[in-house]
Amino acid sequence: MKKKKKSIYPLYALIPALVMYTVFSVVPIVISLTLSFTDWNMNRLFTPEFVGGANYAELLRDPVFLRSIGNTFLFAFATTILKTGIGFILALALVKKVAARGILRTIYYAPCVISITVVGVLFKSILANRGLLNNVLIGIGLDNLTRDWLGSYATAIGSVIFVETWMWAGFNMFIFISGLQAISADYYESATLDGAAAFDKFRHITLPLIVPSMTVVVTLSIAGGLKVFDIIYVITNGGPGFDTQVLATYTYQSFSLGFLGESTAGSVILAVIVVIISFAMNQYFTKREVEM
Amino acid sequence: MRNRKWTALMLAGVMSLSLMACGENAVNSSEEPSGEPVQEATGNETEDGGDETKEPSGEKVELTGMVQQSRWYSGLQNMVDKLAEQENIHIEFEVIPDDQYDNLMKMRLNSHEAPDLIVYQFADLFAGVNPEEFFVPLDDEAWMAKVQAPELTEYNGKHYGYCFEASNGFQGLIYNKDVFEANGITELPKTLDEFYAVCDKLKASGIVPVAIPSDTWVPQIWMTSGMSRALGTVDKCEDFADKILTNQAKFHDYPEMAAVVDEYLDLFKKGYVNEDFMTVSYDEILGRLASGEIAMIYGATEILTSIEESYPDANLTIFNPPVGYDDKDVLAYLPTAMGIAVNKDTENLDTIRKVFDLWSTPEYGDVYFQSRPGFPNIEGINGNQAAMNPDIPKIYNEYMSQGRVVAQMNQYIDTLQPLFGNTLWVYFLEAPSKGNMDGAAVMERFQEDVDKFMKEKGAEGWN
Repeated sequence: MKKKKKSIYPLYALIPALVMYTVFSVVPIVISLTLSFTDWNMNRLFTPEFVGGANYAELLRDPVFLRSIGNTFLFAFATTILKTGIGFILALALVKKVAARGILRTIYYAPCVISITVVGVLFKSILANRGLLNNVLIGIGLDNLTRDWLGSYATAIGSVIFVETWMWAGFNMFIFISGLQAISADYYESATLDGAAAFDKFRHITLPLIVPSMTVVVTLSIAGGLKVFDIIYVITNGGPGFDTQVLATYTYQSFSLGFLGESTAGSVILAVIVVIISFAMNQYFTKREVEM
Repeated sequence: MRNRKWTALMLAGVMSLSLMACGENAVNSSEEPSGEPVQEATGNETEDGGDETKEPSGEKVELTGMVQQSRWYSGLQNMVDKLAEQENIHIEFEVIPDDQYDNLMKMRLNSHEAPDLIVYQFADLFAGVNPEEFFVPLDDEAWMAKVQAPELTEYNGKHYGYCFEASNGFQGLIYNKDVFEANGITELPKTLDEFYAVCDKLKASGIVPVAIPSDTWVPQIWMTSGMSRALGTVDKCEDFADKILTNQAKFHDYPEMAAVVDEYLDLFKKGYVNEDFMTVSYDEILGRLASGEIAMIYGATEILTSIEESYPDANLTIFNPPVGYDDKDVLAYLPTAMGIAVNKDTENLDTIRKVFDLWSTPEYGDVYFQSRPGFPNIEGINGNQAAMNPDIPKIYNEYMSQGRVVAQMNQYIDTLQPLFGNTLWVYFLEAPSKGNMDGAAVMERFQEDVDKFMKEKGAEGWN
């Protein structure tokens, strides 16, 4: 005799959430997709006309847009690797009972709770040609290392990648700490009894069992990196020139110029990229998750 | 355990209260536009400096407005505060970053969600929206009889705004007189070669001859001034603008435009400009100018007035620099009229009329110019020109009386104003930074942006 599966909540309890999600997410997405195929602009706010893929073609012809795609990928992947790697290393160091563990965890976590605008203004000042960094380098006799950090592409994009990593590595650290704490000590004890070295334990126990946390961290980091706007806008504003433009800042600039249809097309392209890559990364890591 | 619970609740409560206390005072914030000192808008400022203790009359009325961040002048804030204190009329101005203002204004007007008052430059305003559709004509107001330059707010025979200033002065090279004297420069250069000789002398002394900040609205002053001076007369400028805006000509059809940019780029090639021009802020450059580390910055009289307010001990003044593309020595001036337009959808028109009546009197109008000496548009109002650098009215009147003036080019091609900040002005910094564009290349690249923009607008000649 089959037991009837009892559900804890009736299905209609989902309706309010579904309505909210539909109204505030699905509908705007559908409208945006539709408008991206029109000549919607400030002068035709209520009377856009269908123009097919003209907006997309225009974007793909624009070298600044293409560059912004490249910068977006560079930023997303570089910050993901750094935030994940550094967060994981910090977690390994601070999951153990070490002196001042609590204080250290707080120090590393603190940057992510500071307003991004405050961080941006702070680092813009630090990285200025006569800012704190150059003054410190001069003070310790490293004059040859001073430069206009935000004045050239390589150092400007490197600076924003550094700031983003500094801000969020601590956040990822806590996710990894939770994952590490969930690994039973029995596995390590058994491995020790079997004569496994520290590296073997790390490779065969820690790494496979930390993959769920890795999935979360990498997916969040990639998605956040691809959608980056604030840190770029505050520190470099897409400069010098248009060198550090990313997709989000390009779309914003396009919107400022009144090219609403084109900026909507840019948003759609960004959304598609984020979905594809996030989904792919998620699938990749999920397949490698090991059940404890 | 219980104590911990109460302690945590108390701490949370204290934090919440402190956050509320730090909450925005967005209306009359001390938001500092570029170059403007922060002045506490006490509303108690009168000419004799005494306190106004007049009780506000009438029922409280609230008006709403929007103003660009760079135009949220302390003079305007003071007038708003005085109005609130004396008349119980409170104007809540939303201060909006300049690069967002245009689109936000158009969107709100089109969706009938705009505030009562729109503060803007009338040339830009009329280029962006149709005043007949959105604004209240003010021709019947009593103060219109006192307006000095009524053409500034005129559109198709009617007048659509209250305009504070008849002119924002002129553009030129602001320089540190002490630096010039210390380096034996006793006479201002009259030719381009003399100008380069002055720059060489300053450079040899370790002084940066010319400052360019990364704020793109500053270096573009060279070009907006230069392009008008290159054409030389109002008629030629108007003809140029007409042809450009109706697609009868392109920017690169006028080699003098490229010549203006090339001469600007030469300053970088000759090493006359600060190295960190791509990142240094305008405010930092002003500090360097005042301290004498930098000798000159291309600006305008309103900028000089602002700098002098911030650095009263600096010995600064302005002159019209010699350039290779202007052999008639023409002065580029700013007929930019900053004022207020009234939204047609307002429900407070009577109050607004009262506000403008009050603001057109010396009691209020003088307050505006106390912190911003200038050229008032309403007769009887004191522009506080005695506080202005004496060279400003001297030069202005000299060129005006001889008819050797022409408006800055941005006025003539104002339709393209939304494009400037994100395209052309950025190219003016990108070109010297990367060395990848000369004057002709810059104008060609901008022409592509113009073509795209005007096609989107459905402008005449671009179908």
